Amino acid sequence: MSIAAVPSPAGEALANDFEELFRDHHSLVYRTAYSVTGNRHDAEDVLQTIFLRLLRRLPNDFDRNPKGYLYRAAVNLSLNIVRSRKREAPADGLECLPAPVDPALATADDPIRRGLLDAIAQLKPRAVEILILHYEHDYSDAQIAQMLGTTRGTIAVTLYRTRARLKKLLSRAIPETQS
Amino acid sequence: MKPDLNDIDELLEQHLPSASAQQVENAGMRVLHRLRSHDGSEATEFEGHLDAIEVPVRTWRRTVMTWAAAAAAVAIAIGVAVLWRPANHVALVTAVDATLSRDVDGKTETLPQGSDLETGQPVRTTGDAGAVLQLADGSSVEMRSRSELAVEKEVDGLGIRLHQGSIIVHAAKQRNGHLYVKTRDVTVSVVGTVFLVNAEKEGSRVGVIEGEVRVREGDKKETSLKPGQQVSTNASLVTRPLKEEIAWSRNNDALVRILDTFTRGMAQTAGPLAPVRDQGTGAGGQSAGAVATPQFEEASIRACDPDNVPEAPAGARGGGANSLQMTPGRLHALCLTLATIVRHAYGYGPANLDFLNPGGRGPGLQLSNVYGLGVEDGKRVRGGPDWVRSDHYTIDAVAADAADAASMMGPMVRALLEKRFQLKVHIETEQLPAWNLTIASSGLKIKPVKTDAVDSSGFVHTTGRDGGACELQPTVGRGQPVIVRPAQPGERQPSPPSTPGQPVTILFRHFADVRRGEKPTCGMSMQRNGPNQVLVAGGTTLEALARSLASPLGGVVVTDKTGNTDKFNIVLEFVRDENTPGPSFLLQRPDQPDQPSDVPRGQTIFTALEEQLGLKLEPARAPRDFIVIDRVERPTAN
Repeated sequence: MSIAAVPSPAGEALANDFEELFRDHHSLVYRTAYSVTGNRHDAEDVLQTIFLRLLRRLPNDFDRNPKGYLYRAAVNLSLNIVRSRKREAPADGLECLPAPVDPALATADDPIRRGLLDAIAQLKPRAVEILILHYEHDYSDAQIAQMLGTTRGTIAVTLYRTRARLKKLLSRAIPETQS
Repeated sequence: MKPDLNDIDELLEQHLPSASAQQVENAGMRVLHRLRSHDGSEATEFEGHLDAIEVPVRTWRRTVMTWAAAAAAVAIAIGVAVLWRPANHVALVTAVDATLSRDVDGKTETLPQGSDLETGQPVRTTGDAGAVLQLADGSSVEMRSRSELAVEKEVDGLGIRLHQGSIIVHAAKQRNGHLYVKTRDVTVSVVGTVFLVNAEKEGSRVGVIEGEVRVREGDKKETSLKPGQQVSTNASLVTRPLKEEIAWSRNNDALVRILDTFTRGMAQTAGPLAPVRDQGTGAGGQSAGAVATPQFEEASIRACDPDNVPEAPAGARGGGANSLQMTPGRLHALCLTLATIVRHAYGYGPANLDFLNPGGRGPGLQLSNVYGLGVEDGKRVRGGPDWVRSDHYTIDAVAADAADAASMMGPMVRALLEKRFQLKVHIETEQLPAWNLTIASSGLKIKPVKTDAVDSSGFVHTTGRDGGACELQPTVGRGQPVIVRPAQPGERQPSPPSTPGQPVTILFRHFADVRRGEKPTCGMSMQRNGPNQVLVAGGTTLEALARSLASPLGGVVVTDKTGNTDKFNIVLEFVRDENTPGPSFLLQRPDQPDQPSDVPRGQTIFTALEEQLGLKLEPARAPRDFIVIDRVERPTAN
C-alpha cells in the first residue's frame, strides 16, 4: 500500500504516514469543499488535488500546522473552482449563449442554497474559513482561533461582519419566489 | 417568498451544503485509491487548479514534532494496520452491508467489519448486499451479493480466487509484485487499475473501468483490455454495457464517472462480447482490442431552403440558423454549413469566437443549451467544393442511449459525416502572420488599477485566468437568453429575473460615461462611436486585451509580450478600416440606434494603441491548425 514512489522531502517515511494523514484529514477537506462548492464532484476534485500536491511536494512549513494548512487549501481551492466555473461574458459577440430550453433545469436547484453559495463565493477567503468552521464543523470561536492562529476576539468580530455581509449579498442574490 | 434574512444563523443551518458521512467515506476511498495509483509523473485534470491554491504563510510556531512522527503515535488507521497483520493474514474486512461468512471446522462463522482473512480462506456474501475487503497490498475488493472468493498469497504477490459472483477490484499500484484474479477459466493480472470480474457457471467476464488489465484463458495468449472493454470466455453470456454490469456497486456513481473519463469517444462496450479464446486469431467475433466507434442510431440530414433560413428568436442569440442543441442522446443542428459542422466535430469552438480560445478550441458544448455556432469561413476548415461552405443542412440525430455532449459533438458526428457525406479529412499546421503586443518605446501610458476602480455590480468579479473578465451571477443559469447593451447614464445593473426563460440584461458602462469618470464595468465590451470602434475594459490584463484585439484584427493571433500582469481600465478608440476587418457587432445604446454622423474618424488601431495606451503591435508568426477536406460528397438519402 505504499505510495512512497513519489519523491518528497520526507522520503520513504512519507508513504504510510501519508495515508494516515489522509485518513485523519480527508473528511475535513471534503466537507469543507462540499460546503463551499455545493457539488460532490468538485469536492472530490478538491480533495484529490490537495493531497496530490502534497504527494509531489511537501511545503516547508507544512509540519507546523498540517490541519490548518489543509483546511486553508480546501477553502482557497474551492473558492477558485466556484469562481472559475461561472459563465464569463465574452468581450464581444456573445453568440455562444444559452437560450430558453427547459425551465425545469433552472428551477431544479434550491434558489436559497444557490444564492447562499454565490454569496459565500464573494466573501474573502478568511471569512469563508471562519464561516465554514463555525457552521459546518461546529467549531467554537476558541477552537477556530487556535486552528487559524488568531484570537477569539478576531474570530467573533469576523463572524459578525461576515453575517452582515452575507445578509447584504443574499438580499440581492436570492430572488423572490412563489410561496 | 424570500427567506428571513434577519436570521442568518437559521438560514446557514438549513441551506449550507453538508456532506453525509457515507459521501465522505466513499469520496475518501476513491481519492485514496487514485493517490495510491499515482506515480508522480502524470498530469491530472485538476492540475490547473494547483497553482491557484494560495495558502497564507502561518505565523504561529509550536513545538517541532513532525507530523509524521505525531501521526505514528496516534491510533493506527485501518490501512496502516493491514501492514502489521500476521504473515498469514492477507485481507481485512472494511465494510459489510449484508452477511459475510466463512466456514470454520464445518461451521459457518459470520465476519464483522474489522475481521482478518487468512490466505486461502473462502468467504462469501449472502443476502442482498455486498462487502468490501482491503488487501494487504492496499488494493480494495468490493464483493457483490452472493459472491464467494478467497485471497491467496502468490509467489510474486496476491491472488483473488473468485469462485462465483462479481467483484470490483481497485488494484493498488504494485511496486514489487502482482495482483491476480482467477476464476475457473481465466486469470487476470494487473498493476494498478479498476476492473470487474464476474464468474458464472457458463463462464467468466472481465471488464475494465480504469487502467489496463491482462487476461489469459488457460495457456492461451494474453489479451490486454482497456477502459470500457469487456471480454468473456463464453459467447453465450448476456451482452450488457459495462455501466450496467457495475450498477450494483456502492460506488457506482464514481465508477461511471471514471469510466466516462476514460471512454469518452469510445463505445461503452467493445461491441458484442468476444470469447477470450477467439481473440488474437480474429475468428469467432470481434477482437477485444477493437473499439467500436459510437454512432447515432438514427439520423436525418435535410438541406435548408436558402430563401427561408430560420432566424433566431427576438432577444436571444442562438435558436435560428447556425444553431445547435443537444439533450442526452439527441442532437439538433439547425441550418449549418457542412464546414461549420466539421469545425465543431473536430473540437473547435464557435467560428466567431475562434480568437477568444487558445488554439480555437472552446470549452466544449453542453447539453440543453442552444448555441449559435457562427459560420466557419476558412479559419479552420479548408478544401472541398464550394457547397461545403454555402449550403446549409439541418441534422436531427438520435443515439441508442443517453450519450453525452462530448461524444455526440465529436466521434458520433464525425462517424455520421463519414457515413453520410463520405467525408475524409486530415489536419495541417501552418505558420501564419500574427501580432505581438509589446510596450511602446514611449512607455506605458495607462496605470494599474485596484478592484474598487471597477464597477462589478451585478457580476462576480474574478481574478482568474482571464484577468478581469466578468462572471455572471450564478442565478443567470441555463435557460436564460442574455441581452447585452451599454448602460444609460447612471443606470445600474438590473437584478437577474427569477423567472426561467426571461432574458437577462447585462449592462456595460458607456465609453462616454467612463471618459467622464464613471467606473467601467468589469470585463470588456466593444462599442460603436460613429465610424469608430471603442474598446472599453474594466480591470483587465494586457494578456486579455491582446486576445480581444484579435477580434477587430480579423481573428489573427495576438500574443501578449509585455510581461506586465497588472490590471487596467482601458478606453481605446480606433477607426474601423482595412486594418480591422473583424466582426462588426458593436454595442450601442438603444436611444442611439443610428451612428452619429458628426464623429470624426479616429486613429488606426496601431496608432491608437501607441498614443492612447503606450502599446505597440509588432508583426510575428504563429502556428495554426486547419482541417483539410480530402473527400466529400453530398449527403446520401435519409
